[in-house]
Amino acid sequence: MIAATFLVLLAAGVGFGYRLARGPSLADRVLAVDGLLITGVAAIAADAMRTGRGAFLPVAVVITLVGFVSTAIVARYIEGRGA
Amino acid sequence: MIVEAVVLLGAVLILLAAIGVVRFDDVLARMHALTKASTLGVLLVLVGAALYLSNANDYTSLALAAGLQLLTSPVSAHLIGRATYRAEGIDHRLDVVDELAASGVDRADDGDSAAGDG
Amino acid sequence: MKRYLLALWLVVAWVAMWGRLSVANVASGVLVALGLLALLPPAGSQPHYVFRPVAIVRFVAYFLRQLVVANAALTREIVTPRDRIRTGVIAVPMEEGISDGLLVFLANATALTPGTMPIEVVRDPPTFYVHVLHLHDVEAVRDEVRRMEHLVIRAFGSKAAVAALDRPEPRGRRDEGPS
Repeated sequence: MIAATFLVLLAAGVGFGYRLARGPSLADRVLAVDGLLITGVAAIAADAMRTGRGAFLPVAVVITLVGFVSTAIVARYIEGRGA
Repeated sequence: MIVEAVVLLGAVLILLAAIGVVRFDDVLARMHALTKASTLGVLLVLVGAALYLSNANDYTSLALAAGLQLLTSPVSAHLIGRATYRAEGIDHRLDVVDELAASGVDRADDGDSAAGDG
Repeated sequence: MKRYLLALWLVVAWVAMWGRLSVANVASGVLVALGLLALLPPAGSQPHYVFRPVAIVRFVAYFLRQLVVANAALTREIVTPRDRIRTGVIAVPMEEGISDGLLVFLANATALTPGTMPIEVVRDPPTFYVHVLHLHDVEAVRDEVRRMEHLVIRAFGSKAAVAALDRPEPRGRRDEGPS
């Protein structure tokens, strides 16, 4: 079932990637990147389950924080510049 | 086995968020899909992983990641939504009520936005 | 007092990152926390939060149920044809004495409940502007947001705020929309 989880997350990644490529506005692309980051966090957790070792879990924390800060910065930019 | 199903359910929710982001027409609608579905989805995945693993070291990292996700994901969605609204307004094709425009709230209240209204 | 609680939370987060509760971790955590607090100036007013366990449980239960309902509604939304979306932005006035921290917390909670997403928060008078995905009944959405607000105030608000909730309201204040 963990393999199925990876397949589902891969499909989600493809979906977000489509929006990243297509999204007409900058805000769409930021949403897509945010979604990709969340998919990455989930994939790290699933991989920790697969190997049984939690060596990469702090990476999930860092991704969350960095993703939040960068989303906030781009939101500021959109506000000033227009999407 | 149940724990793996919980993780799979979380992943399916994230997939649902991705489908929503692909299918909806409007940036703000896509944001609704992303925030609600992916936050619950990633929480389920992290909780499932915490139940599956047995090392105390891992629990704390997972708990921290889950807490931070819960705190930051709504805030970033709100920031994007606000920025999009200020930059473009909402799509008036979609037969809307817009009380924020009517209320005259000053859009550029932080002093450093170069663009004018809309 | 609030600053020391913040320092404690920073130390806990630091130790959680390292994973092991050892002397070195806690000591370095305390150093980092104090260093950060020394660098950052204290925030404005420090409101007094009260923790009422029963009310907190009630709020958490409602919130979790709303989170699940939101996802169920979203699932149905994604699967059925798209042309039912009728969006809008509505104003929801908040209680007068609500503190900033509670306002932020409430905005976060509103972002996760079915159909609503705060896109603007005004502090004076306290108002949320909420973007709604399916706007069929404006007052129903307002009532939902206010219900969440009352639950949060009863769970975390100061005594004065809870007393203000229980006091009967003067007629006319709630009945007028944003003017």
